[in-house]
Amino acid sequence: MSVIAFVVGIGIVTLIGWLVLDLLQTRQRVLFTTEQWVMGFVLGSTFSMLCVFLTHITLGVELTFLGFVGVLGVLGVVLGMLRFFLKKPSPGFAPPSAAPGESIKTWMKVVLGATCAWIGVRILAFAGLLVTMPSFFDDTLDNWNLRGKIFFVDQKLTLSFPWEANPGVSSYPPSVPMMKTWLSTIAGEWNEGLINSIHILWFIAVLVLVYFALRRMLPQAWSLLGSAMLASLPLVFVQGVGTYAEMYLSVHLFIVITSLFFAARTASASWLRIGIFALALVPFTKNEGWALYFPVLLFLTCLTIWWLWKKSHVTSKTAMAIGLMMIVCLVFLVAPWIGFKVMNGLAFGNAKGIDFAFAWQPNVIMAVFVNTFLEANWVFLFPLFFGLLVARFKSAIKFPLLLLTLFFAIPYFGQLFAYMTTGLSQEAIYQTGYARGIIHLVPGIVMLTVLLLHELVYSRPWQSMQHSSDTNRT
Amino acid sequence: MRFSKTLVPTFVLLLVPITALALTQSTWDFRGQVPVPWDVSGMDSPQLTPEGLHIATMQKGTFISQAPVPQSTQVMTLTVTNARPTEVVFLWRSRGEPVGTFVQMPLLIPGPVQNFRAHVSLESIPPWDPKSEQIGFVFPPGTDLLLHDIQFARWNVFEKVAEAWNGFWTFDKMTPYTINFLWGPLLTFNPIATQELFTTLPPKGRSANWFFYGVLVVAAAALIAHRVITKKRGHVMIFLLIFAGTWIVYEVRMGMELFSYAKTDYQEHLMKPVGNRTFRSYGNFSDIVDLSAPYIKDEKEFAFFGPQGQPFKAHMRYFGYPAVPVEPEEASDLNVWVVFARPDVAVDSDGRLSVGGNPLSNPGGIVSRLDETSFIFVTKSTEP
Repeated sequence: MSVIAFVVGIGIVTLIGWLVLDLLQTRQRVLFTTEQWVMGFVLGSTFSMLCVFLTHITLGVELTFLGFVGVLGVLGVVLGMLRFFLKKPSPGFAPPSAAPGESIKTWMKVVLGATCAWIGVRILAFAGLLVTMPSFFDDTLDNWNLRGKIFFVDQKLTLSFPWEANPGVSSYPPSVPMMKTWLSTIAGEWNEGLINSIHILWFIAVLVLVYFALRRMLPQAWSLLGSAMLASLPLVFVQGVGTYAEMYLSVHLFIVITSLFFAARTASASWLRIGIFALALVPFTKNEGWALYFPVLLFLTCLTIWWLWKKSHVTSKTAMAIGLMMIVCLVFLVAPWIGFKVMNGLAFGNAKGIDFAFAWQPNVIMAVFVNTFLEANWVFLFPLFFGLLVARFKSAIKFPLLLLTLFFAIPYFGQLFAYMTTGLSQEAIYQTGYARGIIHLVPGIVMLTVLLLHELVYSRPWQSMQHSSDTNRT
Repeated sequence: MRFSKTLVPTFVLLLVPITALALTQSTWDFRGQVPVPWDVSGMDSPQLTPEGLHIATMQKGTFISQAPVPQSTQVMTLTVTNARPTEVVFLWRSRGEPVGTFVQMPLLIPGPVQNFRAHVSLESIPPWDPKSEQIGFVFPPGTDLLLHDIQFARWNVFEKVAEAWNGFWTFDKMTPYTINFLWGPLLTFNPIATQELFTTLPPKGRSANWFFYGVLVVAAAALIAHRVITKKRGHVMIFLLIFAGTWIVYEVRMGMELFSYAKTDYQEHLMKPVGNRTFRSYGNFSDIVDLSAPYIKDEKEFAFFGPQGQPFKAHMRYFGYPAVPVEPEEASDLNVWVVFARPDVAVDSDGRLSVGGNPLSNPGGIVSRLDETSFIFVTKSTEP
């Protein structure tokens, strides 16, 4: 029953996400086939739960099997009909193609292949543990799984607990707990293995999406290198096979920033639409999604549209249409959750609250240095990354790489400032929040690292590897 | 032939300083003698016996050597016979520090033990001076122990390198902090530090990342020098290959640590029957969760007693929901009582569950026992 619940539950939200992405590419397809299914799972799970949430708080639809199936069924039918009636293949349209190959030495292929296999076996081993071991980590037991179980038992969005009237964790978006509630509702019981299994899918999703993002520009070996590099980071791996929501947020952020990146690179409105849709879901992932990353990504989205319009890569009409879509998404996808929080007095920071009294906090710089360079969390990613930023500085500050650079720099240094000057310093000193913030950014950091590394190795800008599908204009 | 005639003697001669640098140990033996003068204050003078120095005091007292440590010391070992656990304070005065200026650290001597060797990796404590001018102890009131000897040990450079290799391959376990950070490979330079690695927070070892950074800096410097001298190209690629090599070594190291987590889970939890399982740092908590499930599933509330200062009650809120765990402090008519790792909770002669001798429940019985301190108790109205 758990296997059926898993397949059906994941399948339905994936299909919904796939349909939305297909509609967003109405005039021009930009996603690889597998990529669209994987991205559909990620965005579909959040979008589906957002829709269930909206019908629950507005129409009182309960979190029962009929309630879930009714909402998701209607959603699927509506999206399916829209796709049937609206989507038309464009004449002379070419699907996105992969970058041409470059010859690399055989022994390098063997080493890369062996590394990928080593990591793959590890992922399989921990996937097995994820579905057979009890939940272990604190936030899982105090927040993500706890709320999912309460929603499942109570069949409604419960903000208070029997032992605590105003728990801080209720301020977090309910998307992850609701996905667990959804799977358990199909299964008819709360099953630890079933509800924890979804976390490995988000991890695999980010590895696949990093691969395909790089594959548009680089040969297969380099693209695999990016995914292997990401998976080999020990803290990323533990978070990926663990039952926290950091990887879930990071994959959403990665979809937004890469959509903007490829929009800037190809001037494709499809990418802009995908990016805006993904951006609108970010506040419904974790509190940091709204408080920290949404403003940054909104700024980068506006920057991208402005840059494309300034360079005459998009017309004013297209820019206004995209802007209108952004407003529609803000109103219908972002505002309801924010409004719900305001109306119910839910906090906008992390569950422990934010102390905004500014004062220099000692020991933070040392704690950050140790975490970044002297522990196993990131291996040697940051010396490599910072070194490449310096060595290829001119590329890193030019569009479209500038988007990836800013996506790292603004939240990273913004958080550092907060750690060094506010009570949030405890999150750095006790090595909790600082590293989690890096997890959110690290897929983008890895992508930027691989692109700059490729430039350095071949002593030529990676942008010179443009190919036919990149020249489409809207 | 000529080559071997010079090589072999050279090799033999090189061994002389190597053997001279082997593991060295010095001992202050207190069996029937006082090897160095000591200053005693605040407590009765220790009694010298054929077995060692008997230290017994009802007041807090200090016991400080009037001689420096006999050699450069990485590890100090106390051989003691002790009646009860005793937390003493270990003192030392570094070279150049004024008389009376001591650095101190707590040191737990276990008990009851006989001829127990308590090892202390002093080099793992940053302020430790290997050639301290004085060492000493502060004994608390009620101390009663027999100090047989104090041993001072130092390993040679080759043994330190070998121990660093051992430390590099010593793995941490999956703990609640693993989701936030991983210590990674650490270097230790004596066997005691290796044994104790990851048993304290923070662990007492030096990050192996420094070694890798050293390798990369040396490689970069050598390549830059080569480039300047030979004017050849390709050095960036060579450096990147060396960088990739260090990353792969690190990946193998951390990969094996992560696999060790999986192996431990498999061996200690998945392959063991309920009642004998260990769940990471939570001991057999998951067993009490599974054993209590059939009894609490129809209850609105149940009593839960777990170790103080541990998050088990919070965890039980999740595992037990919708039944809510409470911790009664007074008499309660709750039907189900779940006890985990609480030696102070027991069933009294009236069949009531008592905490510290204070009966709290209605009469009932233990329906499922995990071990001496963990069991499920239900009142007579709910017994099957």
